[in-house]
Amino acid sequence: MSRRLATLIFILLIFMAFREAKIYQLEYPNYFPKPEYNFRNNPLDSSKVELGRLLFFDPILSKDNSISCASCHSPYNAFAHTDHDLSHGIYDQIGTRNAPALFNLAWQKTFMWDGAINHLDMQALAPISDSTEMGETIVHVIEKLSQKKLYKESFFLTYQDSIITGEKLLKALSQFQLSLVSSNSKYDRVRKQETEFTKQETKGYHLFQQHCNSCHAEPLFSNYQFSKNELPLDSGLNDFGRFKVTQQEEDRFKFKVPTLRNLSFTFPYMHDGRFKKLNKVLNHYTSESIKAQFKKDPKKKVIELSEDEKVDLISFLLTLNDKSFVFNSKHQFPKVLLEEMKGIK
Amino acid sequence: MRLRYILFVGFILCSGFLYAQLKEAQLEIEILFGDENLELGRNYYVDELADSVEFESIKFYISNLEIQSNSTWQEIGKLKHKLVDLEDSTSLSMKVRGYSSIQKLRFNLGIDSITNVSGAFGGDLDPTKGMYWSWQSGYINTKIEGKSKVFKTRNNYFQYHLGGYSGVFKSCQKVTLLSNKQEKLVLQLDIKEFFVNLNPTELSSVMSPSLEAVRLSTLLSRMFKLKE
Repeated sequence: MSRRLATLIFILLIFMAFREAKIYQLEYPNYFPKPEYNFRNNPLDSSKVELGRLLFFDPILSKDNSISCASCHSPYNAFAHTDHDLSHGIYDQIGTRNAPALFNLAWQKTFMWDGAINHLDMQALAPISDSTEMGETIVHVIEKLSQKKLYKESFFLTYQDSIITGEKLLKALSQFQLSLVSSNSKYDRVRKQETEFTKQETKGYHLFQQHCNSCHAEPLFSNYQFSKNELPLDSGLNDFGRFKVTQQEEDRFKFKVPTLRNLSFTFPYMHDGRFKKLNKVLNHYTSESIKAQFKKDPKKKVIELSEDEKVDLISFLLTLNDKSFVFNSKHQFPKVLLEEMKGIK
Repeated sequence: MRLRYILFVGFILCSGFLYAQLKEAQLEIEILFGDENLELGRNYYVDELADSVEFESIKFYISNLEIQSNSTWQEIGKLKHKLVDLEDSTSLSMKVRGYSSIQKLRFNLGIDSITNVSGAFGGDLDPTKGMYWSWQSGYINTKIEGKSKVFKTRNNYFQYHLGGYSGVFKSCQKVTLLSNKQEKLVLQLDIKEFFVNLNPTELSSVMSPSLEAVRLSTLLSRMFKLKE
């Protein structure tokens, strides 16, 4: 009997060892460029995406188990932190920058407003260890996860090994974030010839192409480069942008160009969230002081917009909202985590 | 048929000859303070500073270790990236499979730029090893920490976290050493010479990619030698 059992266990182990990974197909339109992320080092797998989702929504990643990634990157806000200029972390501490929206990350080379992070896999280390965000260490996070049945089982099913390492944890988080693709806005449906812009949206689209497209380049609506937004320094924050990373004088006050997709869900705007409304952003870029600054820079074109043109432009920008992305059930809080948390209580 | 037989026998003989050339050499790492092995937590008096110094942590990466034999470089695949930690004696000794007549040894002190921008890795490169910056991407190639009264800092601490992988802050250093030994290589690093030469009284901490980090990394790379 015991021999049969041993044989059965052996066969089961062989089966698990050769279990085919559940391949996750990243879907995106044919007019999107080739992703920057190197999937060969971390091939998408449904079970890893799901494990990444668990980790993304679990406050266990923070020192006092109160703040998860989703606390500042909520699915209903296109994974930004709506209505907060600066996000708050553990012990109600306030950070120094506006939480950027998380989607189409596979097409980005650098992360954070100043590009301090060079790879999506390594991004989570920054908020986990920042004292005003999660205030944790990756070593302690792994200790905590290793004590949970849910994670021991999840890591075993995903990696065929229940031992949790930094590499596995970070790559699983990447997998979930890579699955966040927003490409079903009205703009996208127009590109796919499924619908048409209104007259006002068409006018706005032409204005966008004339004045905004060089930095907020289609179809991702950002060139993901670093540029000066010409905002006066907030003396309470003293944020010099990319200069902190490169120490090069030309990078002082440069910030990463954000995407314009899903703008309705991601307010307030700019690196410190100082503008609550889109028209405030347009007023900033068309102000006399900015025009004077742009005239000094040969790479920049002065933006002239009438009040009617601003309305037209905003009407086009609103076609970049992707409700199917924001309300996608695959991106929401995982039920299994809710059950786990109830179990704790 | 006969030709195939001759080729097969020839192949077996050649393989056997090449295998006989391969030997398992031992590479040991000794971290010294002057003439003696450095011990963490022990006080060392330094004449040049007229004070003593105590080290709490010494860690560094060795990567892309290669051995030259008969004018060809042989990559030691298993030692692509090795974290050397004075606190962990197992990290100070390693077996390397190379040709029997080792003439030169070369390695990087630190992690190369491509690895630095290629995402998460396991083993010695896992970020849980405490050798990865979190606020800004990049491996810490070398960590040297301790205390000495020559530093007018809190608890007289000094900390050198040396890293940086791009532009002028590239701190990974190439080290090439000549060998006259064959089966046991002893790689020595003299921390005393490094410490005295870096002008410590003017520099108590380096914690980010910088020109100072590059200067200290270059200096440290010159303190390696193979034991005679």
